[in-house]
Amino acid sequence: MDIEKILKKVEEKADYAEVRYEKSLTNTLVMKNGNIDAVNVEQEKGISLRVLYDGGIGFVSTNSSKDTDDFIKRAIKMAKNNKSKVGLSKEKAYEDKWAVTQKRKIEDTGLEWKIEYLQDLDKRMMDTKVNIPARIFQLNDTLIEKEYVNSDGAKIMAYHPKIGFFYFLTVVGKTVEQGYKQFGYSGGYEAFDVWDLENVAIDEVKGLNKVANQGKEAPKGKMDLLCGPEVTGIAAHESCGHPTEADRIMGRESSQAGESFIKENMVGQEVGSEYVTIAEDPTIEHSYGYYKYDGEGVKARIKYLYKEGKINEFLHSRETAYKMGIQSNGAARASSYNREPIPRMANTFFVPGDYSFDELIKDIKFGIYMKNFTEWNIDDKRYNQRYIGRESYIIENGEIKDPVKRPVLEVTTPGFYKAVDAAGNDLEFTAGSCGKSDPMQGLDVWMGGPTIRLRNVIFR
Amino acid sequence: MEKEILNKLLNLGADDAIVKITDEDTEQVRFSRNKIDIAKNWQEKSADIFVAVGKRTMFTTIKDFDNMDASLKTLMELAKKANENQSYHGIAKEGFEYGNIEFDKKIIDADCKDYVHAALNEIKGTAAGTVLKKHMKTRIATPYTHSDDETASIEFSIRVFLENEISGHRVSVATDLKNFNPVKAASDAYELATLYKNPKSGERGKYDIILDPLFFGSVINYTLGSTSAFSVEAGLSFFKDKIGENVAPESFAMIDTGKGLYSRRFDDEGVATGENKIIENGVYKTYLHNTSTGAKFKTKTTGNAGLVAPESWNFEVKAGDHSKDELFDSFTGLYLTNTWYTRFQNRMTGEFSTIPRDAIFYYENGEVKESWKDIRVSDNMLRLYKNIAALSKERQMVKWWYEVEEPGIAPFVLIKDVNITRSTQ
Repeated sequence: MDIEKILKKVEEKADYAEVRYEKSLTNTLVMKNGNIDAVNVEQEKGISLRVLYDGGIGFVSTNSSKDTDDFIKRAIKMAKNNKSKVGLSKEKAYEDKWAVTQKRKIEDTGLEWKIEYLQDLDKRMMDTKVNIPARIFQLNDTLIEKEYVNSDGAKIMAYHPKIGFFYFLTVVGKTVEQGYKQFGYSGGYEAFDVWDLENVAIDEVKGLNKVANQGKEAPKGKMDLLCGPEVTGIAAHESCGHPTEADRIMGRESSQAGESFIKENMVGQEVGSEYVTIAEDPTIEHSYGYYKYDGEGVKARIKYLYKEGKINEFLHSRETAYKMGIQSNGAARASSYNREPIPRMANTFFVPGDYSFDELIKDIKFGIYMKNFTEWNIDDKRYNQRYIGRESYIIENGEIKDPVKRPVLEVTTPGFYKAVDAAGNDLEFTAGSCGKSDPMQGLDVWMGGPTIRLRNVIFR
Repeated sequence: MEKEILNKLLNLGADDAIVKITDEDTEQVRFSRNKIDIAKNWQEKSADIFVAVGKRTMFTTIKDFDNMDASLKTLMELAKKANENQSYHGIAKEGFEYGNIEFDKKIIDADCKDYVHAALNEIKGTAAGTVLKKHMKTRIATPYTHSDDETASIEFSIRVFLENEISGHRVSVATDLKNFNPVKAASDAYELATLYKNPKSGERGKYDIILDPLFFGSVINYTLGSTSAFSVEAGLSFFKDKIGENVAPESFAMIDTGKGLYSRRFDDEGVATGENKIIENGVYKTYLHNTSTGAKFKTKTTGNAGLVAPESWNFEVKAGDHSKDELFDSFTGLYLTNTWYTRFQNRMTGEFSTIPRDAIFYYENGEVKESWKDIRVSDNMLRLYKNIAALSKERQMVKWWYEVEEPGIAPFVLIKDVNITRSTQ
């Protein structure tokens, strides 16, 4: 279906309309314990139409119907379900094309090369002589073509190649320890070099083995904590990014992903120390969450969600911006053509400071270095969270000592951020799949930050 | 269409192939703060295709039907280049005696928005939730079988808020409109919220707990992942090496079944679905298998083939011997009505935590003493099942968003000596 033709037809009938077309080709390889268990190719093509009609929003999608009139009729019918006087903020309409560049193109990378790479990675892990009886790798590459038009005059085309990978490892020593890490990149297969995948994976195996064989019981009580970038990143995403999503604050997600401890009138309130600034930036080139325009045609920009310890800005779609009487800041994303765009994160990170790792650790008399985490969760108002270390060590008199097994920090959001007294200069990102909405929309994101230091937090 | 694609694949050199065509028409109305936010309709068609050339295997999902012939050709070229899959032991050649699935055709024409308005009339305060109706037609063809399936289901979920942090959540899900009762769900959610007064931050310690079917349904969902043979091999199952062992008290039994909210006559190999006893009399009985994992584990497929790995369909926990009231009689401990964000420290050994949400009641001697908030269940899944002390006769069909993603029937359950934690600062 021609999306401009559909827009032209629907413009006469609705107060506002937008049409999205998406075509994607995704290749997935699953390797289990050295065997390629699944090779999957997914081809998708479809369109969606979102209309505003007499104060109601209707959303329809199809990959099968060719009947334009019926498609439009269904959208209007959906919108008529609703007389809630929903609106969308007025935004500048852009006409543009954007594309992510690749060095080693996905289109030119054969199945055999990918299989060989995974088999080699598996062999290198096994060559460490660590006992890893269960190993899962999943590699996926996607080529996405998108077109977007709306009745305000926006017309945007995009080409977005992406690579994703994760491993899930089970190491058996004196105890059983498991490690999971996800990687993501917008671009081609140069991703493997950017991620330094082989070295990171071998480090993971060795780290899990240390904990499994030499890990001491984790100390309990009040002590200092160094969070590695992976831990800082999950904190930034989960206890800053999610609670600043405007739809969550305004209750639109409340029967699913929940609401937020942050209320509409809390901008400027203190939530952490002066060392805490957390940004959300979709414009980082080659990031997993990269986009130039959001799912409603609004130009992407950096947003500072917490600034110097204070709540600063929310993540907005045009719908939430309209409700708050402001402009959208370009945070609306949809996981596919058949999902509605809503406020989402893309690349959320704790803004680094200027401390080196040695400077951060040197005056810690006793504490824990939590390099990464295993179990992690948070309540649905984004206030009570739990961090359990995967590879963690005791810190004594400014030095890293013995590995410890799964130290547990259970803390509130202000309890965590108010304890931060320094941030390192070693910004790193980890990829993730962020879940939200109904039906669930899993989205590619980066989460990041530097090593940060927290004083006097309580481990149990 | 499925037979045509199958024949093309066999002509292009496939030794075995499976073609499944699905047509889905889904409508959803979402509401929050007592107003409808959006109404959506999806019409999707997809082809799930599996091919094997010797032990070289490939899967594909095609939602772009414009270039089917070219896609099939590419698929076969890739399959011929793929490495041999040592886990592959063929597709099913028997097990094709299909049962019938019944559903209420009136669901197809049900008006979702009317249910929202009727439900909202039952409550004070504000509410958020969804109504979702789904109509699905599936056809499957392999060299050994050919069949079709048609199902419909309807789901309602409502979370009622009386004020900040005072909430109750209930669902009503069904395959016929006679058993679909969103008005009662709304009224029950409202009642829960009204009983949940002035919650205080809870205290850590060991408590006996009673889980509502909605909460227990979520626990079972995170358990079902451990029942797939794929998970057992991948280090993702706390039931590894547990076949024949006591994993729960004698009163506990759980099955996986093809009949339920998400009924299906056949799995992704075309094998007829049935009832699989996962836990019977407290003893762990079977992992869920497709033909390949069945062969590897020296057993047969259980009719649970998913596109890549064995999957569960609908769960059902056997009713207990106690009435719900008997469970609460003289009860001292926590009644937990809903949960979310369950995560594992270790999927092989079962350490996990989950975060109760909505109404949480602390009982003493059968009476509500306090309402609590801000607590976490932090324990071990295997220990949780072992510590089940009683199950109710009353059961509910539950399905809710991502937390009870696979639907099923669950009772109220009393579990002894469960570890509760909370934030320290």
